[in-house]
Amino acid sequence: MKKLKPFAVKLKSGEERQRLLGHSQETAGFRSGQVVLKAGKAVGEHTTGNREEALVILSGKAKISSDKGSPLTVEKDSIVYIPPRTKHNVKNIGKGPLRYIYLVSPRDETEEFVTKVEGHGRLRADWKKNRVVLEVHEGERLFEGIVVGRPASEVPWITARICGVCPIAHNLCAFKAVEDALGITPDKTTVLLRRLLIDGQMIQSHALHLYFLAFPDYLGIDSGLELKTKHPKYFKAVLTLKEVSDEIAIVVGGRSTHPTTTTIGGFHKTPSANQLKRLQKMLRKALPAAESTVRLASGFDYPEFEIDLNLLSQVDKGNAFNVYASPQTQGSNGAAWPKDDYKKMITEEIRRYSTAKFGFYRGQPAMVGALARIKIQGEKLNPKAEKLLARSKISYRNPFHNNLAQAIELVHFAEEAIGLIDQILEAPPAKVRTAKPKATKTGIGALEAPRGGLYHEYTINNKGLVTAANIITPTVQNLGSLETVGQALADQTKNLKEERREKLLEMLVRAYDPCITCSVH
Amino acid sequence: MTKLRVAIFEFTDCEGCQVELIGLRERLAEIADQVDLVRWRLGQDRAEPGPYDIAVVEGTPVSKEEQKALHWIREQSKFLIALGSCATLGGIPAIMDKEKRAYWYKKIYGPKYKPRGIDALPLSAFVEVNFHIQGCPIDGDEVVRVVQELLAGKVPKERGYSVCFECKQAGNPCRLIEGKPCLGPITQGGCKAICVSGGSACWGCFGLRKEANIDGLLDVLSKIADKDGVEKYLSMFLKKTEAYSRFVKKTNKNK
Repeated sequence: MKKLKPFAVKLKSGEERQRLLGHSQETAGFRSGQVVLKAGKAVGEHTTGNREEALVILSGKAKISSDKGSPLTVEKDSIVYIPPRTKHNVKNIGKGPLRYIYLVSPRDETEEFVTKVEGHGRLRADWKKNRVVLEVHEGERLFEGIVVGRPASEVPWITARICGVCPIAHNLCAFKAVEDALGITPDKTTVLLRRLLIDGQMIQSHALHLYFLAFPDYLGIDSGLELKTKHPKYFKAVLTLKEVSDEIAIVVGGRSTHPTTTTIGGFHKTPSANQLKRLQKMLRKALPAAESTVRLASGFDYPEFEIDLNLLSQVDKGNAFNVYASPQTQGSNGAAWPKDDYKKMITEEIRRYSTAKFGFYRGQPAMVGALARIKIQGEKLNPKAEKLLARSKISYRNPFHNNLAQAIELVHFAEEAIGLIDQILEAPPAKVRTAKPKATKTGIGALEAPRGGLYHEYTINNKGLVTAANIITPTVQNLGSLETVGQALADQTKNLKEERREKLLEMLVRAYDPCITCSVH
Repeated sequence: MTKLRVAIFEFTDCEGCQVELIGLRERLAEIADQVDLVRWRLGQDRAEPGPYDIAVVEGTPVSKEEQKALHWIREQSKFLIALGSCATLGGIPAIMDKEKRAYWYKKIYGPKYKPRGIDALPLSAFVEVNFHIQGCPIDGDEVVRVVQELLAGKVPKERGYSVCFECKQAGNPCRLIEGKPCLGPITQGGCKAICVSGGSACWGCFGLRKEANIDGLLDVLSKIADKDGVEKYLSMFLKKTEAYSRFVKKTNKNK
């Protein structure tokens, strides 16, 4: 901080504009100046960004109009307050000159990003040019460099920390890739436990996103915490869902976020039969909360907007809606390819306004996540979820319906977790399978994370150290689609006010449920 | 009595510590009732300008913009809390050396990309931090403790004991005695030894305990793992701490 000293400036009487404070290095960001307007003249509409402003009227009579409330008429010896981000204008409506001093607070140095979204980004609209760009300003952590030179055993521990909302998905996907490289096939019980763990992850992530980030838009509240007093029934539902899913993560994974029990080829520790039975009881009790979420999400007034979304989802070979297996990926346009082809199918582009890459499927934007999964394998949902889907008026052309799809999945994954626990209780104890690295090999892991298909790839040398890494996250794939769809939404809403259009763009970002920290990794 | 004005900010990180905050569920709602949560980008639109009584900052400020914002937050706040390992230690992003970033930018993003990140450092490298809530991720109970103490007009204190204390309470066998690397002895407690209880190692995400016997542990570790192995342990979370610099000094001397 520079050293500042008190000082005084004399107001001049003749000049139209006089800079008083903060136009050189003499303040810590505070600005002030004097304005003199002739009768009938206005200063012009402007805002002071995220700074606050005060106007001290020295002489004359002014009308101050703004986009936030009715105009104010003020005379000398008054002070007017203008909040941040307020478009306003000052007009001299008296007979003589209007003289006033403006005082502008220091700039808020934090950058403005979309609220209620995981990570730092914004859909920026230039309404004059009618152009929408998706800016991502999350700092680069360079995970694909961080893991190089480290033991393969540490990689899932490190890459779980790509994301705090879906750490289990990254952790398990990394294990799948490492095991693929080392030639390890985990035993059946390990797979069942991992599936239970990822089901917990799905419920955790969807419940958090829906009630905390997306639903407030539709319920007319600002924060998910307001549910407690304004919608206690929904508050109870989200607490139930969050509690049961955190409990799955804790009982199976050792912690509600970054897992501690998982290891290459199995688990360091597995839950006891009693713990599992307790979980199952909790899940049965939580099912109604999941079902009520579908009812709630079905009743919202989603923006009416339709577009071809080109949906993509990893799928299992059999009849199960199995997000852990994921041997191949299918598209709503009929495409199908094995996981090992992911790099050929999903290409990444660099944008100068984004620290995240933008993903495209065969050069076209594509959407991944709950809506895509249900479109592509909805007939494989568990019975209760399938019934709810049949009754819903879901549109696979409306991206806002991704929220409805997530709600339906809450029911599916709760049902699946209940069934998996029955299977685990009957299965033999899980045993850790290991293998020593013999030569340099590359492995690819794929699974459906809450936000869509996730891919981890590692090359491991004969010493067990990582020599190369590549990670493509669901949000990277969604960014290309989000920007394109955001542009289409802007094009289709030209008749609406800017404020409403901006709100719709924000809601669109939330509907995609982007995990921006994941996308920058 | 007027409520304390609390603001939550985050820089580059995984936001997992904020997820742990939300994981407090009813207890978070209670805290939110006791204070005036005037700003929280992840949770609400409401974003009041400063000044703030308490600013909670998660993540590491890797870019110039984030560093500028951190200075602004410091000026606006009476009590600044660093939340989680990225904020307290530089965290996982600090594994990446500053000098190696240029190489990896080119490799990951290609030659035309203009990077934003400069280096991953703890908040304390830039501004005065009033309290550190440690961990990757943090433990929710610690947040409750710190908030309650602040509300009672007390200044919270660091824990003087190591992870070993909590590890014994949890009934875990000692990893070091079993010949497995562990940073528990030099690491501040408060985590309830959650990683060791789950079967994982302790990589020291709660930061160094005061008066930790670093040299003593380095000697023990040198008998369990080779130089590279010990380096990997110490670089996971402690790269910007005395433990790592002492290790580097020692290895250079023995060359």
